[in-house]
This record gives sequence, C-alpha cells and structure tokens, in this order.
Amino acid sequence: MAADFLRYLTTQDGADIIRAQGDRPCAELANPQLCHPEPRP
Amino acid sequence: MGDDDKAGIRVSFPGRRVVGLVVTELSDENLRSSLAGLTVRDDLVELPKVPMNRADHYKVLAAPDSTDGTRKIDGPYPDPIVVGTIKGGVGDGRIIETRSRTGSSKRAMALIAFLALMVVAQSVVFFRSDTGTPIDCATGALTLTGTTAFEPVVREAAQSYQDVCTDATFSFEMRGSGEGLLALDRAGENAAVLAFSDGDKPDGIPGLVARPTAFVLFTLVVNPDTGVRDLTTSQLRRLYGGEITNWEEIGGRDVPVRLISRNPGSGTRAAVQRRVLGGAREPGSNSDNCRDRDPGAPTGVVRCARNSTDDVLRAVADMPGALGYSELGAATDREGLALVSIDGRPATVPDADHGTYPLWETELGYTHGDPDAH
Repeated sequence: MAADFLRYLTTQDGADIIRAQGDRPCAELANPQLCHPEPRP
Repeated sequence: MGDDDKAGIRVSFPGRRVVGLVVTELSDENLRSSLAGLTVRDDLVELPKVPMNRADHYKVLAAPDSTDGTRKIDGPYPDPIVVGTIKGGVGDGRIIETRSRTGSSKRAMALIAFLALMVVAQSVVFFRSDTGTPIDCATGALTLTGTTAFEPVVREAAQSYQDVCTDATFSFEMRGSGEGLLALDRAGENAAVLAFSDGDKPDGIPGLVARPTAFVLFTLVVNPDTGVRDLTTSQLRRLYGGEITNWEEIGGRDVPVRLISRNPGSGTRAAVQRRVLGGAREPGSNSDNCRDRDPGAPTGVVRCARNSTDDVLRAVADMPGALGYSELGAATDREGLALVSIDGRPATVPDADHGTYPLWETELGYTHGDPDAH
C-alpha cells in the first residue's frame, strides 16, 4: 500500500494536490535531477 | 465472326464515348505490331485479332466520357457490350467478365472500421482510468509519518485516495522529517509505515529507501512590524549568527530580532542551514516563549524552537520582530505574516528550478527496503 500511495502522489490526482500547494512533482521540473537524493559529500 | 473481319473483339459503351485509349501492358513486345489495328469510334472500341501464345496477355485502358460532356445524374451507365469470341482453345472461347479491384474491398473496409473502433475504445479506457479510479486500489492501513512541511499535501492526498479506494485507511503521526525516519526505522521491516522527509535521511539508517516525490519550496517569514521584506544571504547569516539584534541595524524598524525556528530533526531547519546558512548549525534556543530570554540562558538574540510548521507560523505572527521559516504553501496568504525574498528573489518554482532561489528541498518518501508492488 505504501508503494501504491507514493505512486498516487506522483502520477495521479496527487500531482494536482502537490501543484495546488505551490510545489511541483519532480518530473515537471526543467532540471528534474534536482529532485534526486543528492550524493553525500 | 469471319477471318476477313480485322476486329477480333468489339466493346461498345452505350450512352458514352471513348475519349482515350492506351495499351498499358504487354507480356511480349512482339504483340505491339498486332495491336496496331486498335481503333476507337465514338462509343466503340475494336480490339484487333492478335495471335497469342499460351500465357501471353495485354491490357488496354479505355477512358469513356458522357456523350455530351455532362455528368449523368439518373443512375449508373449501362454495362459495356462485348461482342466476339476467342479462337485457339482458350476455355470454351467465350468472354469472361472480371471486375476492377480498385478501391477497397468490403473485407478491408470491415477491418479498417474494426481497427478504428479499437482505437476509440482504447482512448476511452485510457482517459477514464487517468482521471478516475486508480487502477490498483490497495487495501489496508498505512501510517504516515515525517515532515510537517509536506503534511497538508499528504493529508489531502490521503483523503482523496481514500475517497476512491474505500478499503484503505490512513493514520498520521507527522512530527518532523527526522522523527518520522526514526519512527519508520523503529517500526521494523514489515510495518505499514511511510515516512516523508524534506531532503536526505541522516546517516545511520541504511535500511530505508527513498523515492523522490516532490520539489518543495520554503520561504522566510517575518512579523510585518519588522518592516523588512527582503534579506540578502549575508544578512541572514549575520541574523542567525546573532550579530544583528535589532531590525533597525539593517534598515528595518526599531524592533528587537526574535528568531523562531524549528527543533533539530526538522527538514525545513536542515534546508535553511544547508542552503542559506552555508552549512552552519543554528545555535540552540534560549527562550521557551519566544519573547524573552529564559533565566540562565546564554545572552544574545532571542531564539526559540517549535515542533511544526504551523506552530512556527503562529508564533511569528504573534511575536513582534519575529523571523522564521516555513514551507511556502503553508505560509502563503496567512494573516499577520509577511514573506521575505532572498537576495531579491521571492520563492517561485522557476527561480528555484534554475538555481536563483536557494531555499528548496526534495520531498522524499521513505520505506523499509523497496516497497512491495502491492
């Protein structure tokens, strides 16, 4: 269920809710690589 | 027909005249000389007698037109009349009529119609599934922990998921990114827990796996009485370093600075430290009520810490001279608060996306190991 809910957040109505809050789904950025976990120094 | 008659086969087109005639195909070039006697007279085409070997053939294309040049409107023209026989042992010598195969056969049309229907049906199914029910509704209970910055999104999404998937239930224990990750780690591998964190997990919990979920913006907020709406990175470092104790020092009103922060473990606090303060840790708090320094606390600017995004925003709105930080959506359009731009840039996705606004973080969904597909 955790996987299903995460998928819902990023690809379905969840993405609209993220946008409504002023944030963005990672896939919609001009630089989507900003969104990935950053490598540790 | 007698051998003295030069025409072998006569084809007439009643009601029409033949305006063009051409030999389009010869199985043997030698046939061409025999076809020299090909003649056209108004509605009549005369094919000459042509000596042909077995498997020889030729094709003639005739272009009929209406006799007066106007289009016939009362139905099709009568069929052409063919007179003649074929000599030399081809079947029984009679003429066999075949029909043109140009255009599409009924079977081809049926196939095209069927495929078109499939395309329409598929798009109907696709668009319905995109906006309606998630295809795979999971059932069960899931506990959501972690960041309070992302909490409004998480709660709303959980509610809308539950509206559709009625066999799913959610509970919320959102007390900050760090605490959520620890709770997830403690819950063990088989627990139905999902932790949201602003930015990467701290070291020491290798069993947790992240999935990037959203790009979230944070903003600095002040009590409007500070008179400040923009701060440079250098001013922010001096403010959090305790060097600036009154807003008057940097062009604001004469109000003492009060720093209202989040407790350690907050992803928002970590983002501010990492992306604005150059990695410097915020000094510990010296006040519980955010107004005055507590007795025995270190001197300097008043610092206090709160447990959630909402608590910080309420405290900043209540306290004169307060400076705090929060997730952007939660701070927007809230009474008694002013948003502060950084180096002249307000928090917007395009600026953050292009590196001109520094205060953002990746919202990550953490699970124990890779989450099951279902």
